[in-house]
Amino acid sequence: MTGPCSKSITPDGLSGMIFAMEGIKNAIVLLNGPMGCKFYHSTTSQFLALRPPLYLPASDGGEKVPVDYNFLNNWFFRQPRVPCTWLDGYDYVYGTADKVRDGLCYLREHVNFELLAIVNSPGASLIGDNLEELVRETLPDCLCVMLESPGYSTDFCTGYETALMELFRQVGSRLWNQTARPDRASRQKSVNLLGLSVWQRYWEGDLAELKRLFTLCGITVNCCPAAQNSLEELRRLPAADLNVVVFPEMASRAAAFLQDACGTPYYICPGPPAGFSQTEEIFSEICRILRTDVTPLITESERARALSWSKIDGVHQMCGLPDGSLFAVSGSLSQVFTLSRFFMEYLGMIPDCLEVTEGNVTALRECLKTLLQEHKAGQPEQKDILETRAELVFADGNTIAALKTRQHPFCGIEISQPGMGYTDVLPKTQMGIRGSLFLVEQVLNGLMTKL
Amino acid sequence: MKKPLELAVYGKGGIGKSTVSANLSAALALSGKRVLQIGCDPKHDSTRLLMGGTVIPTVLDYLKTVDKQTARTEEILRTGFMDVGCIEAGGPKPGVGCAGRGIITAFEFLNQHHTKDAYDIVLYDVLGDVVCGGFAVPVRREYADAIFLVTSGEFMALYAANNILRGIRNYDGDTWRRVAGIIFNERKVADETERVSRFARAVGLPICARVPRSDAFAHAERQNRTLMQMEDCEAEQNVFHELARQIGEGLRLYEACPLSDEELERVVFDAKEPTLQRSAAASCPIAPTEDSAYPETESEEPPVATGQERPPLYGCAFNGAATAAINLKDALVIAHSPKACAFYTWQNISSPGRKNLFNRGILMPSAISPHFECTEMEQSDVVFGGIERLREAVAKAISRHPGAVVVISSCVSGITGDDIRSLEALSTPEVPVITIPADGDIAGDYMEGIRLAMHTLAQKLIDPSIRPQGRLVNLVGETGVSNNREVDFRIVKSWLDAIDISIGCRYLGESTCAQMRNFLAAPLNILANDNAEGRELKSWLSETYGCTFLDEALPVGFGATARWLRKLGSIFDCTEEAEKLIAGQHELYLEEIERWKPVFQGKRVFMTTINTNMDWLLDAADAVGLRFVFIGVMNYLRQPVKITDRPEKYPIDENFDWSRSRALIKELHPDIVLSNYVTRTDAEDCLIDSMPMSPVVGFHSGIETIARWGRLMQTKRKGEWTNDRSLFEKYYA
Repeated sequence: MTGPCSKSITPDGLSGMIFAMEGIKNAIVLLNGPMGCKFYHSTTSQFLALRPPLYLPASDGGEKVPVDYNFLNNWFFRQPRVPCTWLDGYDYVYGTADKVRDGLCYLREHVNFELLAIVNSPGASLIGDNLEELVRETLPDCLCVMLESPGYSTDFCTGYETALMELFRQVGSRLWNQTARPDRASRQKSVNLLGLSVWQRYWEGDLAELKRLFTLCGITVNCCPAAQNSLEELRRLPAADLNVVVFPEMASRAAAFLQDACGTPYYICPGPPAGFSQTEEIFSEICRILRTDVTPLITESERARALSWSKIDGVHQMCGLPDGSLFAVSGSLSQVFTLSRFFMEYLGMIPDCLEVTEGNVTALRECLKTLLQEHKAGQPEQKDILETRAELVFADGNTIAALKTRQHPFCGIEISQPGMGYTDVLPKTQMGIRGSLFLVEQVLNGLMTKL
Repeated sequence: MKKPLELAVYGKGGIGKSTVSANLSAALALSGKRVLQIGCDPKHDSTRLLMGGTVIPTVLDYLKTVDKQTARTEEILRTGFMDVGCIEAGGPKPGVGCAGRGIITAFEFLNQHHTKDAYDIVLYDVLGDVVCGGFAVPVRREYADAIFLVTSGEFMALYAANNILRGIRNYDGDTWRRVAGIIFNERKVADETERVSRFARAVGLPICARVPRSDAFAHAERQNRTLMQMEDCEAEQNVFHELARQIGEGLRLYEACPLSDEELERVVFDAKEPTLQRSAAASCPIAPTEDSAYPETESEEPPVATGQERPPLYGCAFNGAATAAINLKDALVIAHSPKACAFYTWQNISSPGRKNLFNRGILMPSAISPHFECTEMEQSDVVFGGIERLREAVAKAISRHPGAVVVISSCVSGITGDDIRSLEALSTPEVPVITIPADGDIAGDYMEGIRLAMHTLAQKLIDPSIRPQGRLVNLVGETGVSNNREVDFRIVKSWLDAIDISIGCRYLGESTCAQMRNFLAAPLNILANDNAEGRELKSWLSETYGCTFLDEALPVGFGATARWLRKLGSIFDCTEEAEKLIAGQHELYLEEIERWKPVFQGKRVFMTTINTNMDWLLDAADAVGLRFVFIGVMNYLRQPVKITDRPEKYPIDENFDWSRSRALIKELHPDIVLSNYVTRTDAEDCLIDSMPMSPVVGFHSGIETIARWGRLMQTKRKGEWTNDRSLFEKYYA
């Protein structure tokens, strides 16, 4: 066969919606769709986050009783995450209402949850059943988000952001009416982090690192919607002083919505805080806005830079690397810009291929363009990732695996899901100061140094 | 078999097409034809007059309440005036579901049951406008040979007729001619005759019949009869007799040449006729033909449980078909779907590939770099149909010179009614285009998708003229997604190399289209897995191509492996080499058995399983002195199961309900509790372990599994981590 090889197919808006809602603690996502759409999301979601067991509905004053997974039959099919309505051909003709109703009743009777999300599969979205009516009929008091149109081939971040905004829109008024707004001036500054998702490769470590760095700056993290936030945290979302959009393509519109709905100003990061400079700049700006002291963070960053220098210098003295090493990145626009900046500016590496799999933020595209022009890096974004000759490839496991079938030797470094198969027990991060050190570590270990 | 002539009657809702259809059917029947009328309107009253006013059950209502496998045509087919067969497709309640999808479902059912075979003429009476792909199904070339448009002179009726021409044009382009003409049903509006005539001239169609406005129709309707059954209305009846005569003698057919909206308005309101820039010349007259341009839908289905409740479908046919098809390693597989479907299919395919590469260093090219792409259907494709997007993708794929282009439909393209089969016409001599209408899970579950892909690819690729020769075998039915597939293959290949036998084709596993074409060159076929799907495949290949199979699948366990090698040795005249292989392993096997006997003598085993064919394990367990006190089969698919060749030796429950296991374990006091997943029980003093769902082939799988239990029994059995569940609940719950 001639011509380009098939590229890894990345998730679309349906997965973005499911994983956004799966990122809320004690929420149940009911997928109104066939089992073919369920298995991947159930299996993946189960392992993306530390999950407490599902419990039976609470009884008055009784102890929490875990659900026996062996009995999670028709709706869960023995997988504790993402039950589904197992639609078949007949349901596409007659509508899905009966199955959705039965599923809601089952959940009401058998599982304890605080928030319900119903997500239509692409096929189910063509049928036009009235989900709202079904919820009103079966679970009138339930906090429920209905996502009737998952989009067709929209990208992951669009689905994620749509789900986030629908969450705010559909249940925000019920949650936030009861929230007493504390006097912002009289207490420690706090932020919400928007745009983090349990589907990101190192989300747990990233979140821990960001919280740690905010603490260093005298700021508390109030709520991280869709990154294992509890309903309680969601309830106090309007209390934050600032919404920080960590990934611009994931939550910029949501931040604007919250400004209108709750009056919370927002700050959009130019890509996630990864790499020493970008981390320092982002936190300096946030501290400036909130009038807190960024010095402790800068001091820690300096110490980290010192450690990093000694390790890089060791390699550099042997073989002159990492200067001039070719690298490739395949990821979201935020990832591509942020990692390229770190590798080019800090490590002196040269981009061979930069593939943007999703995200279309004009300002960020301009930043990337400027970066490449400043470094006279040519047009690496025009190159096919499967044709890269880079020594280091930062990508998802599928792309790395596909490249392994080619003759060119390289080191693959995972930056997004799916991974190659490694199970992380210790949370790792590619964000913040520790994340910068981890990236340096991965680069140094991936280079073919002269030994 | 002689294919019936299929006529579609389209027109705006309320224009009188059901009345026209019923009277035309009656006239055709009176002319001696065997006629079947199929109503394709959710309000299901097309055949009412033919049935003397009786409302008949619809196909869709019937299918909703019975199991697909036991459904019978007799339950929905009724006989009306002059033995006209009457069927109503039916549809959902207004406002829910998808009526178009309903039409497709009903048609599939009628095809599967060859309902139309007994008739000379089939007449489809179709709801007003071509509102979606479902309602356009009768227009597809595998159905309608000729299409009539019923219209009056009212603008909306002409507008609908023009829209129908657009729908036909979408299917036929300028290469096919299937429009018979216009049936003018008078309403007596101003300028009516001229309007219809102008429209007919503008679109290049004849007015085949002019149905006068007459009280006779209303009179007949009040009596629940067709006009053809009435007296004193000869003039009106002659209209239908004449139309029936035209049909009987052979219709002249025309290209669909719709007008733009502006042109239509000018024709209707301004009495201006656009110049016809099209070839509207008549084709050859059409009459019932010998066979269809399209293969008939297969009716063979694996037996599943009957009952009113539809069983859940595990996975979807789209996913199964794609997972199978990508194993044709020089083919390019195109998913006609939104990206979502292709994404999790890709994950399903690549997951074992990544793990094999990362954890074991095994490269599975088709699994880690599949030739698999997606049309990425968007909102506009869902609304307006995605066939053009697919056509472009197929054309682009062909230009890359793959061994074949395989197109698989998802539920979205199935619901919207994209006719993927029509793209087989793009095939070139070098690159066949093969379509698999999985329609997501509409065709069935994951396993059904695999079956569909295996059959379709074989039918399209295997060269039936090739004769068997040489020392070749084919490997048939390797599991699509399995971590062990390549490990198994390496083991089997090493045996075959040792006895000088080559593998012709892995059907389907890392094979080329050329290997598929030469499939029949192998004198012997070997089934990879002795499961229901494997057996079905074996039987189908034997019946269809006369393939010879070894009577045992790839062997697991010592006894089965030795037996299998001896059989192969005998067939290919290499008994000595086979015996040498066996002898080398037998000694090792006996050593292990002796080693573990003291540990297991008299120990009791409780086992629940979803697996079948467990002799690989039972043999080794017997040899070390283990005793099975219970074997429970969790038969989720309710298929016939075979656990062992010696069922009398073991207490087996073939339909075990897992919820009984705790009580049973308490009662039976086993030393070892086994299942496919490690499950918590109340019995703290026994060993609890899992068994592999897909054991590795070869001599030692059984004894190696048992050796693991032996090691566990000799040690402390449980790591301390098992005590920390409460800590997890304390900190994370």
